[in-house]
Amino acid sequence: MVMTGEAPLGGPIRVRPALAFLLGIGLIGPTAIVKGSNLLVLLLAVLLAMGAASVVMSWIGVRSLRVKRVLPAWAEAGVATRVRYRISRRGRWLPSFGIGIVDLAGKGALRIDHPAWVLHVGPGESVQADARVTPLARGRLQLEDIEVSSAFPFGLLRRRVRSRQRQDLLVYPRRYPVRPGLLRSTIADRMDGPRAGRRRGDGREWYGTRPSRGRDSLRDIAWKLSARRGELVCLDRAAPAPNRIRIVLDLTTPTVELRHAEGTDGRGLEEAAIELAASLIQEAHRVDAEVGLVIPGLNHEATPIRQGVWHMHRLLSSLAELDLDAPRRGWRPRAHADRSASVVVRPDRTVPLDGLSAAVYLTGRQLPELVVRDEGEA
Amino acid sequence: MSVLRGFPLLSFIIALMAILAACLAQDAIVMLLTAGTAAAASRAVTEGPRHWRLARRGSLVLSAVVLAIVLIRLLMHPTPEEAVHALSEFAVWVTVLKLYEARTLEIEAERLMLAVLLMVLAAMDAFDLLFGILLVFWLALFVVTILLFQLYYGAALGIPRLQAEEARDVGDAATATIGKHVRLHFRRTIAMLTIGVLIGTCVLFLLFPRGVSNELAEAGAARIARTGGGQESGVTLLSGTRIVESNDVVGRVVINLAPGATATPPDRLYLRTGTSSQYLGGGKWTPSSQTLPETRFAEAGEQVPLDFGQGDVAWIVQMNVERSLKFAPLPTGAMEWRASSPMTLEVFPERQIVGVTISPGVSLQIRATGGGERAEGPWLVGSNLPHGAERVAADVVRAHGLPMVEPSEPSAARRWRLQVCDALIGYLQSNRFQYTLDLSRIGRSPEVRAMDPIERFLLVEPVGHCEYFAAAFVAMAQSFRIQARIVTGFMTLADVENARQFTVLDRDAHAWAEIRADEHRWIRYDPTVVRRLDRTSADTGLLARLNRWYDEAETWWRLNVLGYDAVMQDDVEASMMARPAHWARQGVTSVGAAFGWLDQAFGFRRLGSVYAIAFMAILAATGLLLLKRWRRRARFHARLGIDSARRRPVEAAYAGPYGALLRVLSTAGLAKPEAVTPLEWCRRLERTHPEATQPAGRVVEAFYAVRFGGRRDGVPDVKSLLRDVSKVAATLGVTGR
Repeated sequence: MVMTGEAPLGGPIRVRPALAFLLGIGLIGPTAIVKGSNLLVLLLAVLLAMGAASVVMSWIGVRSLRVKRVLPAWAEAGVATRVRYRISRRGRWLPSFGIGIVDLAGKGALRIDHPAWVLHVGPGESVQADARVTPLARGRLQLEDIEVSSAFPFGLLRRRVRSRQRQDLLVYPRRYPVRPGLLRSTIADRMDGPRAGRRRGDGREWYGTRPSRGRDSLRDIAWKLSARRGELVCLDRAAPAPNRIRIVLDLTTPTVELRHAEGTDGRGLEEAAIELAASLIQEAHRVDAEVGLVIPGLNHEATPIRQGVWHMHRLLSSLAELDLDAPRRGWRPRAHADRSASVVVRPDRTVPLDGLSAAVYLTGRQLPELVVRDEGEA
Repeated sequence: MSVLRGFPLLSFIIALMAILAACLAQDAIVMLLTAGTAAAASRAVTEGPRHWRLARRGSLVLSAVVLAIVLIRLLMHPTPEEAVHALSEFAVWVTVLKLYEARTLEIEAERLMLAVLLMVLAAMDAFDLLFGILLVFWLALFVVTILLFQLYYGAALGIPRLQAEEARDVGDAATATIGKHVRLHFRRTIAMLTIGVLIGTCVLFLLFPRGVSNELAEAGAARIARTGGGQESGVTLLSGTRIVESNDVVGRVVINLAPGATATPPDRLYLRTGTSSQYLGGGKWTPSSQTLPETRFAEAGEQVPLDFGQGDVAWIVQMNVERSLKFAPLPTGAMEWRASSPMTLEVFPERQIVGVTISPGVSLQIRATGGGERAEGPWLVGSNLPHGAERVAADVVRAHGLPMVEPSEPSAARRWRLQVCDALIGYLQSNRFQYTLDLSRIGRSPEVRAMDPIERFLLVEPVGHCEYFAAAFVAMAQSFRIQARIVTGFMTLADVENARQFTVLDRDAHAWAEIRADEHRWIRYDPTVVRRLDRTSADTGLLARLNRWYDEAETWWRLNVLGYDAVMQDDVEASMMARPAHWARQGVTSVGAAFGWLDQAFGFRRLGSVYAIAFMAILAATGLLLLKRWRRRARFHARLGIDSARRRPVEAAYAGPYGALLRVLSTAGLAKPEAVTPLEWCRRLERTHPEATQPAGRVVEAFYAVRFGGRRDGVPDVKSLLRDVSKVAATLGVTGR
């Protein structure tokens, strides 16, 4: 009778409060009649009055609530993320207590680890609550209905109100930390030594000149130029250029033609390849390398090699929105004269691509060996 | 979260109160001491510095031990009552064990469930006011605790987990996660809910069907009786009964001395309504005479002289009764009476007494001489007397050194009878016997319950009220072949303010004994007169006053809550529905009269009614339309952020044309999107409806100037703006605006 072991809250208590309430009434009512005890009648009356109050109050509690979902910019498949709800009560007199908010996304797309719950919303107030959800698959997650419910005051009856809010959440593929040194060791021998970067820095190559600011080393002073100008002019050095990596996610082979072991499927290997590519992009970002992405086989514009957070999200967004059901087509490699190292990621097995014979080849099947997973993660 | 801080303590109190209530209901003093102490100590133990908790496995083992003990006891006495007691005892000890377990949500829920079970089981046994008070407080706390449990549950599962995690900011972090004034709102909600539940409980309690089965009526009657038994002529000794004392007035008696008389009026009035002399066994006594030898009617105002004896008129008795009294005691001797209405006389010539049946509201005036009732007729001896009474009587008489057999000589026999009765009355007035109106604790064990009530009173449980004492006295006297009888009626002391006036209350109902000392006289023996007078005279001091208040409260509780039955339900229904029904009838009559007047005024049959109905319908429709319009305007003002609390704000006046413009645009299929400002929307109109742009822009600009600029200089007045709106409507082809 007093339990709130409802599914949305997912607590340890398994007793249904409404069932316990009905059981109590079913036991006390006949006993009161048979025994002729007015005290039992009194208890029965209290229970019935509590039931009636529960019906009315829970209805009042959720009647004038408005919920707005505030989504993060992105989420990652298999990683818990936080969805925020802003709850407003329009009523002028009565507050709401114990409000649960659940997103009703389709099965297989989202796992609700923890629903949002609000202790109290005063009349005319707005409060916020966070829910922890885990998107289960990469892509664009469609969120539609939100369910607001309350079992206040006595937990006997849970009132639910749905409101429709269509929103999308971009879900990146799962990224794992790759094994230490993987990226550097695989591409080290393909690098042509340090080059001058486009930024001022502490390298050896010449970047430009500038007036001396004092405290400059005597070696850095351009004496001839200084003599010509009549003031001290210093040489500016260029920063060493970052490593340049092009990740080629080879999806030219249709899913059904992929070779996979028993118990696995082609789509799984493709997803593993995408996750490996995402992990490599993240690792490249971590080691301050410039990274680009080419996805042969799908209608995808090659992303130039750049650096930075914004660029990384751009690449991950590209991976997130890949449609593996789209028809595959052949790929003709273009000649790249940008002195970048290439890493080719394929789903099933290594097939050298034309013009990329010097690239490093990885497969989605190798994902468990190439990444470091948390304990307990399969 | 401060509102949730009190939940653990409240949950503990709920469980503790339930344990105490269960022990009180069962009269289990030992369990009350042990379980109550253990429960009270649990909080100090589990919440103390050592933080000692009982492991789940240990709790299960101890619960199994308790279950085994209870089952063994139940197998020894397999009765339904014992089963309830066993279940209650088991629930008490399991609750105590739960109090020592760790405080998890699951355990909290189990404790609350057990507390409910305990209170239900206790309610099946308990009838005291103390339990009632405990129950009411417990229910109030229970409502609050359940409310808190909801929130405690959600908070325990919800908030701490999320707070512990590192948040990724996805929105306005400045927005509160809990609304303001939580305590205030929670208290307000509790107050509202408590009042609602209280009203609902009262209504449901009053309306719940009662008296649907005989069992219900018997179960109710077996537990509660109220004073006023003095109106009945028979005597039945009940056990398991609690007699509550009612202060309802039965009648008023005034005794005035007749002119010239010198008699002293009594200080206490014994008002007899019946006598019982034949013991039927099982605590039942039958009235002395069931048949009325002669009945006649006296007219109102008639003076009927009845000369049964000699002597002058000593006093004049005036009786005003409010209950129907049968066999009202009248002094013997020459008397005459005057009544305010006809009444029935029951004349017993052989016993030279007169019984009257007095209806409520009858005023009776009697002129009578003094003297006791004359005893006539054959000697009656007792039968079916319990052996225990005979044995005790013999022991008492023997202890006083009196002969066991009645002397043959009449005067010696009379003296012997009086001596025997004195000995018996002295025995009953000893400290061995206790006077009480609460018989609910008597005869609880099956063996004692099977005994004869008189034997039980004399040998096992010397506790009872006046009927027990009188019955025991009469039984013991009859065992010596002394003619004795129980007299039921009322015993009242004179009013404090007037020594000759007696106000007879229900609580004055009494039973005493009379013995026939010789051929002509009955002598009264009242074994409990001292105790009753003690109770009456001890009404001074704070303690006595508190005791009386408690008694009155218990009376109310027993009569109106525990004793609420189908008859009372009908009374309540009649009294509650009388006024609304009266109002309804009056309303129908008034409406009918009004329609009749209208018909007459119009001069046509029923035409006035038709007009009136049509007028009222139009009035109602207009009111509804106005209400709808007012609500629409209020909503619109709320959207615009106009303070409706201010009287006649200027913004509200200018919001009229602006709202009208928006409605016109919406009707024309040009509803303004949310994301576009009104001015921008008006500018966009220029592409499709250039002639509407200017007036529409004027309306919007005027509203903006007043609403946000706070100025009225140069702003067109409202009428011209409404004209602009009309122009826009005409341009867009919107009609019937």
